[in-house]
Amino acid sequence: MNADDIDLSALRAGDETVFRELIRRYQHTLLAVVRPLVGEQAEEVVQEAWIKVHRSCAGFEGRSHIKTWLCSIALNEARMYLRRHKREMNMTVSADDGEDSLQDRFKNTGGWARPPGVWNADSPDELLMQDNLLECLEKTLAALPPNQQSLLRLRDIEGLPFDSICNELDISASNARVLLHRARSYLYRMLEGYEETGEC
Amino acid sequence: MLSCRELVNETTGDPDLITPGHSFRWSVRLHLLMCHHCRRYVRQLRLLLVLLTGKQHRRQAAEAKTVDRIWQAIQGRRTAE
Repeated sequence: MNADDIDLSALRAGDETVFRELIRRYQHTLLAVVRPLVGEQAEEVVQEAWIKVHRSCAGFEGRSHIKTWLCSIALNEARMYLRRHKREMNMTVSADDGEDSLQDRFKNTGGWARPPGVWNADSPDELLMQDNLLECLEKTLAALPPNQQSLLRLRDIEGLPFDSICNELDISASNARVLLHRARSYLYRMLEGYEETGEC
Repeated sequence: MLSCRELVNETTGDPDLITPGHSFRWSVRLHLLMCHHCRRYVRQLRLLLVLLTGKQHRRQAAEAKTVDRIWQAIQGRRTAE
């Protein structure tokens, strides 16, 4: 989906057709972004976010990509929801986040003890031909701790700018890298296992 | 000289790993030049990220009834205010 053809002047003027198109395109993105944080309340939170978007779209200057702006409003709404329910958006890096999934692959000297094997599929297209892989990927993603999942979804799936993500999630760049590292290495292990066994 | 573990730590958490035009710092490039295990790891990791990016492109648009529900909620709130 390409956001570049959204008519920003019409959006600012409150054009219903353009706004509906915005909802059509980005509803699932916003749900994916807030779900790790608010769980089953995601629909409610995102609906509230759309109300805020509608209120403020007259002032949208287009300095950031429209998706970045929408995600920022949705994340803020998720933060407010958590606050109302006496919870916090916990983006700290802790031992509860799980160990680094790749550390047991190295010798004490830092070299590979068990190096990566050759995969049967060596291109995205080949990987996509494997029926259950996307399902496995989604299942593994959903099993990640919320902080890792949020970061990975925002950066690797939605492609939002890294500095905007750190800003919105109120997390330092170094902590964000640690979370990204843990999330990606966990998914890598899943994908590697899938390549070896054909199962999740 | 970076160890394989250090290289993996650095590249796995790199937010720009698949940003077009992104290049690694010199010590990473040098290591990759000499270590085929790490080259394979980075290639496979990039494959994973391409797969993840593809999730966004495969995502379907919201259904008309969902769009209607949200639009009605917006109108309802405006009226209430």
